[in-house]
Amino acid sequence: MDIRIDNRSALPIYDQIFTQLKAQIVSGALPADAALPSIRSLAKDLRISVITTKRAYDELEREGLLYTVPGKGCFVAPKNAVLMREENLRAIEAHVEEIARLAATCGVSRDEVTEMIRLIMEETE
Amino acid sequence: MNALELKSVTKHYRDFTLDSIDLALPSGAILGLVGENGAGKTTTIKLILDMLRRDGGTITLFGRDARESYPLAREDVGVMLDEVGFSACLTARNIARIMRGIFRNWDDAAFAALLGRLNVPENKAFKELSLGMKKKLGLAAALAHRPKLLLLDEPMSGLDPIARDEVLELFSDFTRDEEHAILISSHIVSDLEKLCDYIAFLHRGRLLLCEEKDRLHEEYGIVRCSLDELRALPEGAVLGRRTTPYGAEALMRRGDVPAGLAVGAVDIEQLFIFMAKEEA
Amino acid sequence: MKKTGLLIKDFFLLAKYCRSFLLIIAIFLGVSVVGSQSDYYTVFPCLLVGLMPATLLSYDEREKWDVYAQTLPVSRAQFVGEKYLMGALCLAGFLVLQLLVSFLSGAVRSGADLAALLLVDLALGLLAPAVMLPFFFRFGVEKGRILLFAMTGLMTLGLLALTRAPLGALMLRLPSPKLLTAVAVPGIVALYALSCLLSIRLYRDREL
Repeated sequence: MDIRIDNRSALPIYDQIFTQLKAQIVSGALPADAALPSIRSLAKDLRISVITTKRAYDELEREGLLYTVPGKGCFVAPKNAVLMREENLRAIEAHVEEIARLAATCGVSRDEVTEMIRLIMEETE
Repeated sequence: MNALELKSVTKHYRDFTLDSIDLALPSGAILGLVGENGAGKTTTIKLILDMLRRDGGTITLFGRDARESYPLAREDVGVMLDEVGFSACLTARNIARIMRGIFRNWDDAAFAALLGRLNVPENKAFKELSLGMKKKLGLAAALAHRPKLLLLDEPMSGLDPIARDEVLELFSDFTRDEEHAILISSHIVSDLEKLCDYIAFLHRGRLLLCEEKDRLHEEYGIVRCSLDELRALPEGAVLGRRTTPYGAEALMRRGDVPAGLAVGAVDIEQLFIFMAKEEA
Repeated sequence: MKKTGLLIKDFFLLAKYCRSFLLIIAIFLGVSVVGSQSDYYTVFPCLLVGLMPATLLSYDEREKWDVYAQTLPVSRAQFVGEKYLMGALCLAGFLVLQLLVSFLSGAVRSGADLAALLLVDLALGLLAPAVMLPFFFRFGVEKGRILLFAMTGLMTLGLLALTRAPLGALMLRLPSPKLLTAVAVPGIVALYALSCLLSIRLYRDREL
């Protein structure tokens, strides 16, 4: 596992960790179900705050890239789940681009579009 | 659970008051107390240890009232004050012998290992050691009785960069165990910048802030602008400023920065200086 | 909870700092065996013994051990009590040696001699520190330096005066010397203990 932190960067450190780990998970460099270092040991080895690594891991978990087994630790999410999510995200983005284009052509405002999305998602939940 | 909690802790002196300090240090975390000389850092630490009588507020250690749990509770606390108070004639070996008769959990092997790791000679009299060596010996003694909480008052002052690095490594290792916690005070902010989870600013006896270190970076930024632009900024939003004939720097919350002005990152030291100056 | 560590530390200090003290004591005792000096040669070194707790405390003050001790799981009462205990232990050790030497040199001839010797020893070894120590615990040895010099001077003068007259004989001239001894010995010990309690009280309130 390869993580490099750039203190000078404008990106917050948790973001750097998140991005680098995400890239390695998506590319397969970190295989499915691989054990990730604990939040605490990662922090200590990188000489950064535990709160930072926790945040990075929380973000990864929220995006479905890792899962936690209580008492055991954090593990890389299964490949298909990761890939699928990536694919779905890309599909959603494409759709949104289409929506934006359509809205622009007939003068529908951003707020109206957002309201539409909100209503529809509420119905499907 | 919080390893350490201070609520409204107050101490009056003739020409200085430590005013209503609130601090919380969760287990597993490191809190850096930043302040200029005379800000009250040492006073705070001494109050936690009940070395000084407080005039107000409560202090709890691992959930129990500090004063009532002393002196036994000090078994779980490792302390390093600015001056290491070992008798001048004692060698590290002597000190081990003495500490064995004081601490319930004294670990000779751990002490010897620490001395080895820090390169402290075992048989030299304390007065013959350099300042750095003295501090390292004090640190070894503070760690070797297996404390859960470390209270460190300027532990790195007087250490050369290599020693400082070794010592920071020790602190980092100490908190690999999530039952351990560290309160470390310093006026050298760069040391604390990497290590700490929480940062508190103490200035002239008052606590200016106490927050997660990462949040500080996210919340505050420095705006570099012209003097006119500075004047145009809403009064309450400018938390600190520095002006030159050629321009200005303003410390602001990132959220308050009007569109169009560039915001740069602020490091903890700058943040402290800006805030302290504004308090004056 | 037994905190022998403090005692151990003070024994280290004794061994390393008070070598000259111990040497003087040894010389005095040795000389009184060999020579036919006055019986009271063996009493002089008791002066040093009585100054021991204050001396140890002054080292602690100078080396900031007293501040450091407050970070240890040791109460202020234990800190104070240990100094008094050291004083008592040093005196006890000295008494044993002195007794040995006195018998060897044949200086002690009667019960009265022994009693007189004991009383002077206790006065120097227990009573003097009982008077001085509360002051030092309250104000520190540095500030109380004048008191230290005064007490030392007083004790020395007193000793010099005493050695003019054979103490044993003096004792016998006093009304009921046996009763006096029987009261004075535990009395002085009790005063020593009371002094300890007072010192603890005074030290507790101090801010270092």
